[in-house]
Amino acid sequence: MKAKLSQVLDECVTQIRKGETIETCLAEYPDVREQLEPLLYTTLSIFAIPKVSPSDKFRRISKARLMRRLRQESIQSRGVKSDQRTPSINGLAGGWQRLWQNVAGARRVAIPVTIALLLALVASLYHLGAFSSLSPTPALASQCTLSILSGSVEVQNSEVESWQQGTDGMTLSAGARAKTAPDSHALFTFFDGSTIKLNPDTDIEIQQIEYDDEQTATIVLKQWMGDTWSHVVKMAEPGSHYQIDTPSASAIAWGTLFTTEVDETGFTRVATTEGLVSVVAQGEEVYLPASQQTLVEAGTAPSQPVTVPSPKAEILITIDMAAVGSVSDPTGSSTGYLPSGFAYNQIMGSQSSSPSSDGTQLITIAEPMTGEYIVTLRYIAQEVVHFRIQGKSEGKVAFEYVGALEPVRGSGWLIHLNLDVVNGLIVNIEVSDIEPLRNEVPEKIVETELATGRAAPIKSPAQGTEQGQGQGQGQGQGQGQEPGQGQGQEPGQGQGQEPGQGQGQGQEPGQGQGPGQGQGQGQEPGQGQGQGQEPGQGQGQEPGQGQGQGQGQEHKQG
Amino acid sequence: MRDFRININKIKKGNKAQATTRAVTHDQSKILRLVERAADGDFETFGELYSIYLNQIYRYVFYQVKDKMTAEDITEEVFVKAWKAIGSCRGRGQTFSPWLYRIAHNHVIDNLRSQRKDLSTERGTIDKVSGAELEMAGELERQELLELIARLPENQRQVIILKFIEGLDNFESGQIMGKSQGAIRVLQMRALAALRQKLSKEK
Repeated sequence: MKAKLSQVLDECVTQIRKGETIETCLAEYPDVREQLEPLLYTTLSIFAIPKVSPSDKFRRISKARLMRRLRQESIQSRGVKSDQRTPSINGLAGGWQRLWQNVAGARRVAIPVTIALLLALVASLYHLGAFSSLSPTPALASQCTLSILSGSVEVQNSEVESWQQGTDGMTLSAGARAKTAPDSHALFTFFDGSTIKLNPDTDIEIQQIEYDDEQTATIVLKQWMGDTWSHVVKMAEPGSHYQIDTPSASAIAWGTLFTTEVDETGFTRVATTEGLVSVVAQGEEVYLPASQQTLVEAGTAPSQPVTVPSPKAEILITIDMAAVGSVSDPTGSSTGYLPSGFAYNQIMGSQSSSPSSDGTQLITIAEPMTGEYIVTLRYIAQEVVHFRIQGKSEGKVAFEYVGALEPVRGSGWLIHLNLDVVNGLIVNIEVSDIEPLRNEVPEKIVETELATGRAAPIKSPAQGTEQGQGQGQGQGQGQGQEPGQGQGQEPGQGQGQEPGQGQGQGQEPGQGQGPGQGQGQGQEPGQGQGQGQEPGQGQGQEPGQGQGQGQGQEHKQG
Repeated sequence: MRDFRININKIKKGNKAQATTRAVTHDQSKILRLVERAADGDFETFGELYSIYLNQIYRYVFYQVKDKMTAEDITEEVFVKAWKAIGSCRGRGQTFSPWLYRIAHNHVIDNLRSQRKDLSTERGTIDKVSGAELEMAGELERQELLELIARLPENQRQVIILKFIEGLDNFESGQIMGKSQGAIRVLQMRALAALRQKLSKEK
């Protein structure tokens, strides 16, 4: 019976795929109708799942990247053939690990073997005439910017052995070393927008900063002591990596948020908040996905990853899409987005969702401290912004503040919060002030050219949706020149057919195009709104889309 | 009454419900030629194969890992792996597609294991699916259905994705999964029954 039912079901599935109805299928098999029917409705439900495709961006860049990578693989395999001791990289599985292989492969090989391999590779490339295309290219970015968030920092340059007082905004190159004083916090910003925040009493050295013509990014730091918080911008190019060496381990990442703590003995703790981090010590390697940590004693392998304990307290800030937000903490660190799409994350343990993902932005601050936090709201649409600030202690809501702010003078708002935290728990939150955002901003951000270029401006959902819609409010007349475009004689509805061009009058969607009193929204995300109420005569913006006369008031938006 | 009919009003239109899935078919002789040339080390030709199969492999991966970035990474990795081993397809171009799917499947399983994301036991991670791809879907029910599919046992999940989402037939699915067509039919029935049961419970 089962075999029969599976066969009948299969035939029905095939028929439904071809466009047959369920009823027709059921009529053919009355004996098993009862069992068949629910299965066929489930079938339909699955068929109704939309078919995803890779994003246009991925499609655009992935093939070129793949081709580059295949060439590299090919060259590597030639090198491997010349020395069979080279470890295989075939065993490395998982997408996250693809970038790792360029680094890990090298780390696992004894130095003499690596040198021999490199020499063999160079020689073979030379003979292949490929040397010129693979020769090292000049670094395009080899410095980082020091920001002093609070307190003071001492800096030692590679040329000068003595320690000097660091200044806010100074640039540091490979070989430089920085130490934060007690109660001091500092930040390094790298060429791609990646940052490392230094907590008090942290000693860190820059070993390598490089970004070459192949867009391979390399950042290597030596953390001698202290606590840091790394925000690593996603590094897509093979060979790119961000690495922190400590006296006992190396942490390697390609697009993550993670903490590195080192004590006087070299004992190291690495904990991932977002993404994946590889930790290597004594030839052993562990991977840390989000919310996992490992401990490394000097001279030992990393411990097996364990889950990071949940924070005792956290602050959650939700902002709707009229504004883009950020939070600044008492140390002067900030996490959030700018309307330009530029993202920053300097507060240890914090996260911010991308404001464009689902219409709201969520910023989470784990383990807050006593002091003043400032929430900055920057408008991206001239609408009321709704926000919620929630404080949680041991998973329970200790405080909640819900508000809405109108877009008045200035470009946004600053909301000042005062927190009292005792034993890691929030005992009090108070909104002490709300003031318009003016020239002075609480964040200290270095916007690098590369990061700015990669950022995509954040648009309010109202500014652009997948389906354009428009509303006509006109009193004028519109007349289409092409069949089917009709006339609009009454206040009605129009639909924009081009981003930002929708202006319409008419009785049917999509008919009005003449300047008038209609309102339209673009079909593409982020394309804006347009309203035109210019008196007089107008002309369609697209060939054949109509002419109209309109009367009304001037009113432009978006 | 029909608690198994999720979102059925949107699917059924005057009882003229129609499926939209169509198998993607390729000119096999062309694929054979491309595979031969790629096996000879022709990057550009392999690039053509990549363009032909990108959508299918990405989709196959995405519905299992449910994360856009991970799906992108794995998809790329699948093609790198395929490039390295394409010599083994020489003279057997007709099996290229199932072979590619098998590589993808192995990567997906490795990924799920390495991240300890056994989808058969993991609690819902619907948020991760809410990428741009699914914005067009919008319906919560569909997200729930995706979530339920992700929680199916591996074989059942695979048959649902291959047959219902990728639009492959029993023979092709069997080639990929290393099973007979009869076994595919039985797996299909079990998977649909399991989904129906879970949907009923959810309601």
